[in-house]
Amino acid sequence: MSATPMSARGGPARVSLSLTREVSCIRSLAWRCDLPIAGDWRALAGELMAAGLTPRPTLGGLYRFGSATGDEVMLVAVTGRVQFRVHYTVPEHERRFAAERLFQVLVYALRRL
Amino acid sequence: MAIEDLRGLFAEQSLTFLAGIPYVYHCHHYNLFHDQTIDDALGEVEGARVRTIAAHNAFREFLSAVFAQAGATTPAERISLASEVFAWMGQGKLSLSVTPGGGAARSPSLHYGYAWREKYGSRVKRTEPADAVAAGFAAAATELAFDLPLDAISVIEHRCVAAREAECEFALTPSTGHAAKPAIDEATVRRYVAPPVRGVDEDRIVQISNGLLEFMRGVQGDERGLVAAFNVFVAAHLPGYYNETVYETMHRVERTAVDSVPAIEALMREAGQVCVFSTFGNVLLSPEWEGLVGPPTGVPTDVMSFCTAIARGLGFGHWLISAYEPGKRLVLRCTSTYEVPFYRSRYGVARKPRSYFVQGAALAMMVLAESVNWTERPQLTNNYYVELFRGKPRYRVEQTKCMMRGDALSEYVVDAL
Repeated sequence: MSATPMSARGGPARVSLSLTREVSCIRSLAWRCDLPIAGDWRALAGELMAAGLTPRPTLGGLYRFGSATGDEVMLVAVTGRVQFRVHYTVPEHERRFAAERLFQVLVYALRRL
Repeated sequence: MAIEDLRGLFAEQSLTFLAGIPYVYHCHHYNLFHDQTIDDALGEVEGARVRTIAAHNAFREFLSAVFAQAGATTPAERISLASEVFAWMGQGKLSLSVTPGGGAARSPSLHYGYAWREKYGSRVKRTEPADAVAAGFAAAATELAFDLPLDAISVIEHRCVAAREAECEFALTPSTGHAAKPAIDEATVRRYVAPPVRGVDEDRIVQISNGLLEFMRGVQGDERGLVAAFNVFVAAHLPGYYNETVYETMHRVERTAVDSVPAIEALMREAGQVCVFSTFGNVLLSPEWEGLVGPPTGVPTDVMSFCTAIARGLGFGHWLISAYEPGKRLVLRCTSTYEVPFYRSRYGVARKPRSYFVQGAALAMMVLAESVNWTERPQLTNNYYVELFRGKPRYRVEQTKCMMRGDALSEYVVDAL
């Protein structure tokens, strides 16, 4: 899945994202995209919370959020890495779709910045 | 009392305790491989028996300490607290319906059965149950809830998620009890450590391992009693379980099948390899690690330091790099491990080096440092494991000093072939 979100004013896109499968031992559970390192991570975190994600205990430069269904979004500020960790109870064939829904939440949050 | 408040840390030795009993973190790859190793050595039936007894003993001494510290005195309190602690550890959510005469337990989500199905379920058909640890726990919790002696309750898992059942089910029945052995608690552990020694890159290793220890303090089972972290299932576990299964198995093989000893020792070492490849490897590739330390650089000296820090952060003991020449030689030392206190207090002084887990781990650390291109974000698949570890050997490991044998510390030398 790829997305090219537009700015709120309909101007040129600020980011270009693609969702790819992440290194994971649990099949199709982890997905990733990469954001520019220079982003405003605190503001993005605020937008993700406004979208209904709940902050989780963190460490170092890592932001962690949980969804109501137990999925997780992790942002690594120092590298721009974003990991979408689908809950392990989601059947394997539905994990990609669950990841895409999380990805959509991120994209909309970026658009609101 | 919150379960978090039961935690203890012997900081300078990187050893962790719950209610004064040692605990460590391992991932599902290691846990499943460890159990398979025991079954490979003893056969499925006897392997399951040894594993269940070891879990029973380990949880008996652990829950006894938990109940004492938490002031849990009634059967209802004890059953409730035991289930809560088991889920907190990431071992799964187990419902116990028991009386002094036994009863039943069931769960749709146990660490071993659930992870086995996730890892192998689509490719392998299994008929034997996978949850000896939960079985031993259930028996121990029932005995202690009703103040029964050790082994007053026997247990069998007759349905298992790993065998494609919807839930795991256990039957608990009365048995003949006997006196428990003294617990291996923090006081015992402290008798079997050497003064901590600084190793290569010590300051950075301490900083990282402290960060990891802090992160692990926030790790606990979810509503199903499982922990998905670092892209694997993680569980807090009792070294007593690992140690009793390994050493009871080794001693039995040494008594009954001497010719098999080298092969079984190699299997025990391989469990250490699997731990480093799977647990350490997944930690290194995880966003959690990237947030704490940064992305893997692929520099061998970094990988070596990071692996040492991970070992300490998971509560494996004070591992240190005594010397490391990339591509040639690693000298890893330990002033404490989770194996030594168990062996020395249960069996006395060993006649030969016995720290199989760290032997395999040291070899695997060399392989991860030298042979893995970390910057390419490798998939840590079974095929990749086979490629790294089952081809032509590139390194060999020798344990040159062993605290179980009475040496001042433990030392593992890995040389390039």
